[in-house]
Amino acid sequence: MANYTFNASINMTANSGTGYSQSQSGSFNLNLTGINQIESGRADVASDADYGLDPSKVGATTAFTNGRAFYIRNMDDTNFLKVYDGASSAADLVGILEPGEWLFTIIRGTGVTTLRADTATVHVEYFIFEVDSAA
Amino acid sequence: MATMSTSITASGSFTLTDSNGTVIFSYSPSFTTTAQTANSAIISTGEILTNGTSATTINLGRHNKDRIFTFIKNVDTDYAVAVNPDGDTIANLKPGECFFSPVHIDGAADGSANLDLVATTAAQKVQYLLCDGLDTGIASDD
Repeated sequence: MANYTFNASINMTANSGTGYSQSQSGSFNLNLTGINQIESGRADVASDADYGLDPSKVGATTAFTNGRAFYIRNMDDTNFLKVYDGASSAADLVGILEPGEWLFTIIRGTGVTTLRADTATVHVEYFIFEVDSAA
Repeated sequence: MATMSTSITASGSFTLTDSNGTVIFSYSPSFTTTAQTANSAIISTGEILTNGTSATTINLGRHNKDRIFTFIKNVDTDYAVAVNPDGDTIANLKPGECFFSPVHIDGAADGSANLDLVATTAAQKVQYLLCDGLDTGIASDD
């Protein structure tokens, strides 16, 4: 186990055709103590099967007991991607990503994260890590 | 007939560093959507004081519940706030933390029309920015 620091900043700006614009942003740090479950990279996600970012898939033997933070980006040119909390059968969608889009969230408590393409296999970029009880 | 055209830009920066100063990963994603009129009716933003432990609803009556670009930030100092688009939690934000996702509000076949925020223990202040996105056409029970 090891200790880490996670730094995040997010900005969203919404515009209308009339020139109206609104923007919000946030930045924060997480000090992570004694975690051992971190995975980042790229993968192909099929449309006909769940792709789980659960602990067993990232090489860990214990569950994310306190929760996890994750980022998912759809690298495909054409097709969208669905991101679920839990299996897709539970229908708990965290987000739907059109090509090029991404999401970031923190979900505390036990659980798995599932990716599933809709029409054809898509390539995704991602990271996921465990958060400790204090983070 | 009047139409409304909306687009969004979302950018982020995420870095994980170990106790030796070694960068484990670093990502700086960004995208801008094409201005679209279909499914586009509203941009809404604000700050809300949640109830204590009961759900506080952001009414999305004019939004496209099939996909809303959603930014949420806990701007308080005490407790975590859960983000529940259809009764299911998709984020738990402690003070200072924020979340971004294109959210399918009316999933799980329940036809939800609202975004609920649930604080732990006591009321918390939350800021949000919501903008309609293009409907991907997936069913409400996905």
